Amino acid sequence: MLDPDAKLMLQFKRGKEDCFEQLMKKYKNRVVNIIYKFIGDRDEAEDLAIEVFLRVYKSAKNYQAISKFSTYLYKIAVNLCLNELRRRKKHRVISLDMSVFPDQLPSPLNILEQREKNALIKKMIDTLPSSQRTALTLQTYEELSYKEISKILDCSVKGVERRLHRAKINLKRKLGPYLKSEK
Amino acid sequence: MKCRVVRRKLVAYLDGEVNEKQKMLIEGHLNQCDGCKKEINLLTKTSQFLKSWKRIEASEDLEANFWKKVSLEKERYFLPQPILRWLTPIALPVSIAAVLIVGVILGNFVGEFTSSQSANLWEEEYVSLSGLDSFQDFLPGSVSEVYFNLTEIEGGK
Repeated sequence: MLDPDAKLMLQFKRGKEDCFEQLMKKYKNRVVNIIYKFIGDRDEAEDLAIEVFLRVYKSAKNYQAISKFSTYLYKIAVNLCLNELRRRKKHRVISLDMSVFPDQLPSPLNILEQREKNALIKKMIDTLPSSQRTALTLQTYEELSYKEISKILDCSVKGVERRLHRAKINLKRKLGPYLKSEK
Repeated sequence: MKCRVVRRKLVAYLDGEVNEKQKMLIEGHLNQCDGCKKEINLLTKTSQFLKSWKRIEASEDLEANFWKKVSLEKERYFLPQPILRWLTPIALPVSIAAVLIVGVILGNFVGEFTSSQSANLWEEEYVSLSGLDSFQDFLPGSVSEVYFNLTEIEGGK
């Protein structure tokens, strides 16, 4: 059975622009969050999210519903993030933005704690190889199944399992001192 | 089940990615092994710690910015293409014909100019070769002039 979002994309391909609006409304937060986990800067994450949707928009004429629409979209987002990280590595761009979320209205102390925590998690995740980092981001923050991740990363389910195993064992070791203080 | 085998599956077990049989075997082992129990507690805490990096909300103007960019792209990219595609079959032969016509006209003009120049040159060369340009008048009061004048008067008679 065809994924309903893939159906919307096919309708957009036939000229219904409002179908693309629906898809964007549904996925904008997810795409921004995936990118944010890679880049760590809210504004840049939004700019790149716009770029992702623009690529989907422009390549609609070649779109084929061979997999779930989310897989197609996340694949574009992940590739864009990896390219951006490669570019940054070359030019040594460092982002210091670790924003917290306005809707939560936390106390200044909590903001500081949350910022420090975000910065620490980001720093730890950044130490992982990109293949492990991508699998971890998609599994931990987007709660995708191993099968879905394998389609996005073009690898086997076993391959995803291995990457996540290594990533979490690495992080467990690195986060050890902080985990003891966690309740 | 050995600890080494169980530990290799613990992450997948926590992520709900093992089958029923594996799940039973792992849970049976965890009930007996304190080392693996400790390991799974640490992995659970790691996952919880990672998940504490909360989600953000996309800003309200993200969609507006996207559509603005789409219209800019349409102006820059989408529009000229069909026009170019439509123009190409006409523009190509027309431009080739124009180049040929201009070439012929220019060729004619240059040809005429060079041939008139060579005609002038030929005339000048003829005069110079036959020595006509070296003929000079007699000096006034010279013997030659007197003799020439006399013979001319004789001939006139």
